[in-house]
Amino acid sequence: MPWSAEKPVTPVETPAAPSSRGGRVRRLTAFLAALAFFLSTVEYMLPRPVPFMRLGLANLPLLFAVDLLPFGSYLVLALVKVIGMSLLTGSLFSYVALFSLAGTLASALVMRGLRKLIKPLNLSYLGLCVAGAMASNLVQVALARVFVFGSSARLMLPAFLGLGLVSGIALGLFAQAFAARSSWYARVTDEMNDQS
Amino acid sequence: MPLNRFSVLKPIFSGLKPADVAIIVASALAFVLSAMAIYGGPAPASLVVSSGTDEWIYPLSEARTIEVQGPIGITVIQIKDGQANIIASPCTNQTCVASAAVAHKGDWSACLPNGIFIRAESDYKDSDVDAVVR
Repeated sequence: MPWSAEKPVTPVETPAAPSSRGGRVRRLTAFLAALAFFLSTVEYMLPRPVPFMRLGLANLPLLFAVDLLPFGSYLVLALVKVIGMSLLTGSLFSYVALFSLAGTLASALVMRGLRKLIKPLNLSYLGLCVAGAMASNLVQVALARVFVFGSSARLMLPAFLGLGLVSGIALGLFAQAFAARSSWYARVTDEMNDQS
Repeated sequence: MPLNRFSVLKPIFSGLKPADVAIIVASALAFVLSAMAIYGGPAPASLVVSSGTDEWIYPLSEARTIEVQGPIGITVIQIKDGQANIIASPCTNQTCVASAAVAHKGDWSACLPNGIFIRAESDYKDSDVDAVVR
């Protein structure tokens, strides 16, 4: 078929969504995990204005998963994110990966717990994201206090809390704007709310 | 629909919920209180170097180079012009080498992979000090 300028742009062919709910959940989990890998790579390439400062881009899939995935798949996504990130930074099997694991799990559980208590009507991705970032950073300082640096680790608190607040707000605002505009997000939300 | 600046910002501000505000205010408060507790007080005179198990104190006024053994190798710290820097460490990310100088109260730098932490202290009192270098 000759190519013509008038030809409408057709979306990339994707396999039809599985009809069962279990299939849809597995497919979305795999997609979000791949997205977390990709965003970890992007994060790794970005220069850091301040040492220790991380935007936490790879947390975006986890943030959306709070409302989209059942609890088991949500935890799997969190674990895959930690493994992906550790592979990329070369810290897998070192105790630095434990900090990543503890931070991600703390943030995942706090975000999920908050959502259980407060519905989207009163709590948006902005609040969830800030709470998750603060929880992650607090737990990492606590780990540093117990296992590595001892009492001097308290000096890390202001920097970690401040950076958590700033990066949480930045990422949360982005997530909020994305969720409000994205047709992909709207479609996936519909698919996941469909219990059939 | 034209995509202008305001149509992008609108869903952000209309989307701000009561619990969002509460979480942000609580987080900001935690940050301010921790900063006040750590950064308030007199100017520092000493550098405390901690390797997790041992601690050493050095005057910030005298230039010197310190080598500390950690689990993965030797971290080198330099005191010069009243401030301290980690100038070499056997870690892969080198975040500690890139971080800012330690000079004011509450300043710190650390090499997580090698378990070395340095901080500025004004009046150091702690029972588990192993050595004071004057």
